[in-house]
Amino acid sequence: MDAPLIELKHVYKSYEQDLTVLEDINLRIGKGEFVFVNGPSGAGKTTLLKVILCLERSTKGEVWVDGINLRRLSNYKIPYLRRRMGMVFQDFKLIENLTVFENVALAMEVCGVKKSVIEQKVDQVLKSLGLEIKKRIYPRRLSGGEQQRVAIARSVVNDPLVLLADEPTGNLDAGRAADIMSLFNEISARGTTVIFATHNQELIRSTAKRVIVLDQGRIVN
Amino acid sequence: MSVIPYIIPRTFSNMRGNWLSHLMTALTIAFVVLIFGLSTLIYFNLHRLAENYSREIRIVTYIDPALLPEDIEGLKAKVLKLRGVANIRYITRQEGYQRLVQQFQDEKDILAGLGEDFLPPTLEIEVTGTMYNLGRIRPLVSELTSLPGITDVYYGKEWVERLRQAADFTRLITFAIGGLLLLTTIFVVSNTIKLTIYLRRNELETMRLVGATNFFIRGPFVLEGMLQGLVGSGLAMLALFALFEFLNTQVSFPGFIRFFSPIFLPIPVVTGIIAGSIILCAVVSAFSMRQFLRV
Repeated sequence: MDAPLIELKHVYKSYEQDLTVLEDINLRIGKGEFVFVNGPSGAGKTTLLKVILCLERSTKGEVWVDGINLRRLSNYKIPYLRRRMGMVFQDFKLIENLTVFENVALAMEVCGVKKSVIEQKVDQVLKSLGLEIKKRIYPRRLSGGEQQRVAIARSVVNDPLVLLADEPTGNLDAGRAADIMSLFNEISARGTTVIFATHNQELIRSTAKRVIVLDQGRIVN
Repeated sequence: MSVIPYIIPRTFSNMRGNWLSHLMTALTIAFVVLIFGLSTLIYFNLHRLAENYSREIRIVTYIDPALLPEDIEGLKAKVLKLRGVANIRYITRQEGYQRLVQQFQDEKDILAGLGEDFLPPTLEIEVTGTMYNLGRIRPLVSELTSLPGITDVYYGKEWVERLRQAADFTRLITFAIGGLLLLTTIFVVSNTIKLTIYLRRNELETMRLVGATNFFIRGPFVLEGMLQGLVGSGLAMLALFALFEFLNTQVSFPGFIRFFSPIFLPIPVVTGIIAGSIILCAVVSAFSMRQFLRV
């Protein structure tokens, strides 16, 4: 493997002395790779993604993302790192009082991109996800699958290096889940690294991707 | 690339979405600033009143009639050097008598049998005309009394002291209300911000996830605080002006202040109160956000 895009070396995450959520995690993920993180509820999947996105700091060990050591990254620089990553959640995390367009545009607005560029790029992304006719609609009027597509649009609009997905199909029926899965495949095919956390074994079996299995905070495969 | 063009519309959209809480905050600020402004207005006018009366204050010292002219000149020089003395006037015994004659021209009998030199010569002393010098009068009188050649000192002791006490008391009240303004604004603005943060916690979390800086997240809240300060203090100043105009035209002042015409707070003071409120609200908003802005 070339120099990895993401590397975790002996990473531990504890909240209290007796509550260790991640234990001695060693992991290398290359550029453009699609990786499943699998495991039962409470295995540490979400915490692993949060540590990579710097929403949580590891208690011990080193986390490297695109050559940056997150342990040494100052708080001030964290937002700039997050702009190079996208994250999708099971509960979508869309802002209710913003339209579909505004929700997606927010990810570019925080970067200070010019309005004309934002309009062009957001329209393009919404079109590619089949959401252009829904752009003026508020999230509560969309189906679960549509809301998740808006969340995906928001996470890819800045062309991130990495897309982190935390149970993105957890709230969807099998048909919608398959649609969302195929979207992730397309995104991966364009060269974006995808880390997809799920406990859905069927979804994993349907593709031939690398799988990291977590159990009680440890990688077990 | 700048995020400022996005922060300003976001501020107004946030305020529209949460207008009732913002309105209540602005009205509370207006109420507190109004009380502070009223107290400042009273202090300001009392200060002017005291200044006007200070200019009228005369200390009269009686001089030993046995003093030689060169001793009198020496005494005048000493008095002029004392702190708080603006001007002096020497009144000879004859001049003093003539004044009495003029004052009692309709009742000349009162002065019958008194010689032109029955009064001692006097020094009339004008004091410098600021409020704070009212407090200097008593020590000045002590200094004058201790000068050789001066036999007695008279001044309008009672009302000078009263004016001074009233001014000191109003100043104290103004400072106390200023403190109250500070605490109330901190409490109200900080609670509004915390309530808004609570109501919009999901939105703010999403912003953090997509890489918003603290400046981007905090900016609209600080601007909201500044607008609340501006609207609240602006309303208070308008209400104070209306109240002042009403009292000035409808109420007749009693006794010795009947001829005193009160004036409204000068523009720099009004600007200062509004600017102070804006800055205070901005600072409180920024500090209230700190707890939330952990990465």
